[in-house]
Formats: sequence, structure tokens, C-alpha cells
Amino acid sequence: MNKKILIVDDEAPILELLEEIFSEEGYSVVKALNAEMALDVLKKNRIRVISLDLMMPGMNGMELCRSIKKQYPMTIVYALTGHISLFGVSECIEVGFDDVFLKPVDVDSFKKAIEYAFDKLERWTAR
Amino acid sequence: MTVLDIDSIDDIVWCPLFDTVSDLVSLHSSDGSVLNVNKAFADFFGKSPDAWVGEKCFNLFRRAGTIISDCPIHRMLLADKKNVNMELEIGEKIFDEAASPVRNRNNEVIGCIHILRDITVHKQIEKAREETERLKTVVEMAGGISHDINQPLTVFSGYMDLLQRKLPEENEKLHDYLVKMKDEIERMKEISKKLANVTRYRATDYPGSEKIFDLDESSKA
Repeated sequence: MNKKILIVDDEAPILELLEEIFSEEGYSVVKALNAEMALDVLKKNRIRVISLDLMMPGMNGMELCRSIKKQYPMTIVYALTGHISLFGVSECIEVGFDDVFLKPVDVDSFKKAIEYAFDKLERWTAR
Repeated sequence: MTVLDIDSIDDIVWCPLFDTVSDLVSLHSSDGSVLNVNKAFADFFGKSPDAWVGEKCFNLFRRAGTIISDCPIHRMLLADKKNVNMELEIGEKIFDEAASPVRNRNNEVIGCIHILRDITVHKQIEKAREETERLKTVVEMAGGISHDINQPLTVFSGYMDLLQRKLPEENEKLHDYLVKMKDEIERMKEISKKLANVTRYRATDYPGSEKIFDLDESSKA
């Protein structure tokens, strides 16, 4: 399976860090600074594992997840956010996020989650 | 300005209707002495209405031995000659205190009607509302700060991990520096977590008679 990840965050240093971390693990990383860029990337590329920041200018991460899940239901979407309440977590589940990670993220846990996402997609699409 | 069809304060007929109101009502002569009180007044202060006649207002309401400048009755009688309103605390109760002039047919101020309205509950609600507002502000601010700190902390922590993995193991000194730096990053993460979990406002003493926000107490479950 093509191990491509889309990472969406309005903070460029975070995009660069995650690109560095996941490139070393053998993933191909595509970055987007906002929701508009992310949707544009998804139109042109088949990417099934996505990490979204929640607080972004313009369309926020929750609205973006709702849109992604509607257009591309066979995707695994994780929230990677700087702050969330318990109510916020349930809202995230409601809009379709498959998991929620809090910054600063535990890199090993996040790597495992990305690996798990690809394993899951392989099982779904295995014939 | 209401003028009564009387000459002196002694001509006033005390109205029984005053006994039906919950406000504490008292009638005073021009030197502040009590002439009459209603039932609510008598019940609150624990003596029959007759027992109050002749009492000086400054003794009764402010436990002062003499006229004091912030007494609304004397302010009204001696200077303003019109309604005076202020707040008065008696024990645990807070009252809205009003002193209104009684004028005779010649428009001379001959005495005063003094009314105490219990606003204790209203004040408690106001205080609770202010506390809630303040707490809401503190929680929102703490959450916002936590969110903003977590962004650079993510980058800092992530590159520290990468550095630690890429640094040759033989370089013990540099690894040691990295461990120390990582320990402090973990501390910063804990601080940020506490900020995100603030549920109350507590302050602690700081040298120099200042107070500062106590994050540990404010974020305790």
C-alpha cells in the first residue's frame, strides 16, 4: 500500500517536524497549511491517512474532518490539537475523527497510531 | 418634593400599613432620635417598637457615640435636605439604606423617614455572578495559554527526540545535556497540562506583598 500521509497544520515548524519524523519511518508526507490546501491536495492525490490540527484560520479542523469524511469515507483522520476539553473530544468523535492526540504529542504513540491506520486500511481493502 | 399638611413631626399619625412591609421603617425627629418603628424593624432588632423611641440613629445603626459624617439621616437633615441612599452592613446582612425628608406645610424639614431594605441575597447573587465571570475568564485564559505554549513545545520536544536518536552514543556528555533538557521539557508539558485543567482561581503569596496565580491549587481535581 502506498504509505502517504497528509498533515494539516497552520504552524509550519510543526509540519516540518512531522515530515522529518515520518519520512525517516518510510512514509511519504504531504503538508498543507490550511483546510483549503488540504482539500486541494486530496482532490489530486489519493491519501487515506490524515492528521488535522483543530484550530486553523478559515475552515477549522472539525469542519474539515466532516468534509473529508463525507467526500472520502475510506480515510483515517486523526486530530492533533493544542488544547481540548472532554466535550471537545466527544465533538471530534461526532464529526468523524478516528482518534484525538494532544500536543505536544508523544511521538511513539502517534507513530503507532499511523501504523495502525495503515494496517486497518489494508484489512479493509484486502481481497 | 412632598409637603405634608402638618406643622410639627409630632402631628404625624403613624400608619399601620408600615407593619405590613418587610422593609425596616423608622421615623426620626430632626436631631435623628427615633419616634416610631414598624414591626419588621422591631423584629429585626429584637425589641418592641416602643423600646426604640428616643434612641439616637448613630447608636442604633452605626454603634457610634456621636453624629458621624456618613450617617445618611444626618447628611440629609443637616445638608442635602433631599433623599440620601447608601449601603449599610449590620452583622451578616446588607441593606440598601434610604433617608427621606419629612417636610411640614412651610416646606421645612422637620424629620426623616428611614428605610432599610434587605439586599443581602441580591448582593450574594451579584458576588456569585462576578466570581463566575472571573473564573470563566481565568479558565479561558489558561486554556488559551496552554494551547499556544503547546505549539512550540511540540516542535522543541520533537526535535529533541530526533537529536537524541541521531547523536552518537559515545558522546556521553552531550547525551547527558539532552537528558537534562528533556527533563525540563517534561516539566513544561506538565505546566501546560495543569493550565489546561484549571477549574478555579487560587492565588499564593509572592515576595514583596504581591500575589500570583497558584497553578497547582487552581488545577487540582
